[in-house]
Amino acid sequence: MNKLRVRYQKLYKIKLLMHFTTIIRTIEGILFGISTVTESAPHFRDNIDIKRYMSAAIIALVPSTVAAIYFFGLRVIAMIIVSYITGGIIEVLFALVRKKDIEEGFLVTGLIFPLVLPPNTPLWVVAVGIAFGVVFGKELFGGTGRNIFNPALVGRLFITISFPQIMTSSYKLPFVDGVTSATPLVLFKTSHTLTPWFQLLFGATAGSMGETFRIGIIIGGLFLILTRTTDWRIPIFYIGTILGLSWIGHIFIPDKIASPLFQLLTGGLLFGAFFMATDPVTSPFTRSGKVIFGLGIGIFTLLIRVFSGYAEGVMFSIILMNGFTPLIDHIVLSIKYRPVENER
Amino acid sequence: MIAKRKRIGWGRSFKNFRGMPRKEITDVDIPEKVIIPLKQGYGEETEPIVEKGQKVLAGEIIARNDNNISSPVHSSVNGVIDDFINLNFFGIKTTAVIIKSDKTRNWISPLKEDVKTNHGNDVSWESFSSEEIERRIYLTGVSCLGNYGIPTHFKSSPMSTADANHIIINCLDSDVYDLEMTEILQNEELSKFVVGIKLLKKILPQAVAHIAINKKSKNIIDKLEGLLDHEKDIIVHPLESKYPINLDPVVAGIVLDEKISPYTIHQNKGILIYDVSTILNIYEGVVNGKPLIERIVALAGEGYIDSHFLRVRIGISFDQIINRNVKAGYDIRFILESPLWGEKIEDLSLPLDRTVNCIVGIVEGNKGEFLSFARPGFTKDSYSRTFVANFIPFKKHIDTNLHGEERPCIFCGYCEDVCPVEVIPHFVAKHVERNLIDDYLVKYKIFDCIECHLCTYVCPSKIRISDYIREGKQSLIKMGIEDPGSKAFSNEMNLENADSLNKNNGETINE
Ligand code: SF4
Ligand code: SF4
Repeated sequence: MNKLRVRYQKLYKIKLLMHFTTIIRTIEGILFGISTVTESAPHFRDNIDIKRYMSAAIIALVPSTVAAIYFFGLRVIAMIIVSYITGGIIEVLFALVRKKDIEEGFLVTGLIFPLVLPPNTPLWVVAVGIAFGVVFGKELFGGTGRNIFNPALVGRLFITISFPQIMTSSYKLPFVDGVTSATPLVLFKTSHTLTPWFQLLFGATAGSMGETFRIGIIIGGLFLILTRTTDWRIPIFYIGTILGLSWIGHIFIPDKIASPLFQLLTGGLLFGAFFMATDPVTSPFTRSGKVIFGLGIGIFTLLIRVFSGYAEGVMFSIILMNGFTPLIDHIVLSIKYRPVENER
Repeated sequence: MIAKRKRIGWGRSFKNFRGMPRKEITDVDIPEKVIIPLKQGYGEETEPIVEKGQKVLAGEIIARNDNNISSPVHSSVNGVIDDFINLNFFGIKTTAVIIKSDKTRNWISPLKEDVKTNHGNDVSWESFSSEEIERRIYLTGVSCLGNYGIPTHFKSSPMSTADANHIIINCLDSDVYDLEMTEILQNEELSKFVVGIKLLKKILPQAVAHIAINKKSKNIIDKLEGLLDHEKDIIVHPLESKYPINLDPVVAGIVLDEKISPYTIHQNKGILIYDVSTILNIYEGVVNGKPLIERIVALAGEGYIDSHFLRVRIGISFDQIINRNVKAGYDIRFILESPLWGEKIEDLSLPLDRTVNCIVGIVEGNKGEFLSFARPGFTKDSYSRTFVANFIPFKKHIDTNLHGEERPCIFCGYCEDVCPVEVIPHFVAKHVERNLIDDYLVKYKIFDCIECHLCTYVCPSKIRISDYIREGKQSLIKMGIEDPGSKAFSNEMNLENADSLNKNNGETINE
């Protein structure tokens, strides 16, 4: 193995590849692990690294991805590939210019993004969306860790606003080609039709590609929480708020507000709660901040679903609360660390 | 008395690692020469009372100074004083005595008269007066152990015997290579331990003794309860054994039910902290008159062929202790006491002093691993639960590899979850990293950090959080901004160099 590594390291010496050392280093890191050792205490370190951390997120997305391919055909794979390639190129370009390592966070963004799109989205729209998301959602802020908004959502929002026609007409039912179909949320909003709950749970409805196989999302989400990859507070408080508010609302205005279970099993709620709202970079880092964040998205989601022209509000509310994240943290910190007199 | 259970939300329990020391003690040969530092444990440097060329016996006092805060130092071998040298002993400059030994094992007691008697009257320890116990503790050198030494009517501690309010006996086994108390305190040891505590209580009658112990050592807890039944102010605290609960400020905070801060133990509250070996040394010193010339040291970690305990004379070099037990063909890093907070032993020719409990030897992980991040990880420890070893109890492997590239913080929150104090490590570290060092960091309790390094350990982005925090503290102190707690401490104790005295307890505070 070490011989292989030594051979690989010869790549650094090739003149032609001089400008691409970032890429070579990244691949070396992936293949051979790293050989740096600790300098001072603690003399040994936890085995987790960002690669594995992000891999856990991707594993959690596997059920949704496989289901999407099963329901909506091989086209899904093409969309994922387009997303990865477009986003990947941009990511690498920025890394080359900055002379920094390529960051792994993109692997998750690049997969989440196609999964929140309707199945018939044209490939060029996928490319435009991810490009916009990566550039304006992440890189311009300085890369992973510094961005304020979830890059996948920035891209999704951008194409929703820029190409509304394409987006709304790209939904379709699983297995049926050529026929567009409205999502269960739209059906409820326009004609008060309730889709049966087992169809919702197992994914035989129209919707964004990754969001329909809800049982898989729940499994993936539980996996994330169990492996400590995400904190439980945001998804639980988000979903809890939706359930609580819609339960009350359903009693008073059943025409406009669907029952809690329907709210839970429609649209991107579960997908958003487990995979997008929980993005650690764009959500508050304080624990009470996470609770407030979850409550906030819950309230906004329901408000948008019920009272706005849009049928779905998950995406908007997460982006909106992303914007409030620094403020929430600031307030929580100033309460937690308020000066107490004669404390010591 | 058994204290109420307390819930602990932070920390990490390090269990089931390869290279745990076996509970078997072997004697190491008496070395040809020993180097004995004249400052060992708590206290200032002592003054030699021997000369070059003078013959000394093992156990004979070779240096003492009754005018400063210190405890006598003994020769650990029978032999001849060879030389006096200047030694840099882990950052502490001290004089050291080199003694050529004749390699014989016998020793004498520094208590001149027959040790089994009290000034000629044949009596057992139970009838010793507290002066007599204090005298024995001081003359045998045991009084140099613990965070402030053991108070006696000699100048062995800045605290007088009347100042002591709490004695905390730290039996926690939360460090990586700590053996469980059930293994260490078997039959005989347990009764010695109990006698040791009773002796301590006798010289510090007004102090409450707290025994902090892993709540899983039920067996020992029950026995202790039985043995200490009628003692009212000896309290047993069964605690969750999660690192860093075994570090002085944390254990003091938990046991005394105060908000933890590194200054808990500094606030002139009369808190004394001892470990198990100290209590056993008190027993040996007082009952058998045995001077502190020997140490039972654990060799722990995968760097050794056979990790177990060794009985060695003080002043022997690290080289000679680990010699023949080091795995060949590996790069091995030797660390004092703990792989989590201990200091690397750069110079193996340095001698062992009276305070060492463990010499850790772990393998340098300077070779990468093929597709390291994608392996199932049967032997890999992690705070995240993404490795098989989190679910199946295989023995885990440790090396010094970073296991990942340094990346920007992704706010995973692990560091905050494990931190024992009210610091948000990534938040404070980021300010220091960006050089935004100002007194608002004090508001965010930067001085509460006890430097347990657990935040750095768990970070998936491999950020050296605790180093940044330490840097921040140092710059703040340079700027003249200090923690109010530490100021209060030095004023009250009225000690000139309170901090330099505090070498022994693992954490150097405000260096
Ligand atoms: S553990 Fe590391 S990556 Fe996670 S929040 Fe702390 S500093 Fe950031
Ligand atoms: S901030 Fe300090 S006390 Fe907290 S985990 Fe890090 S080193 Fe330990």
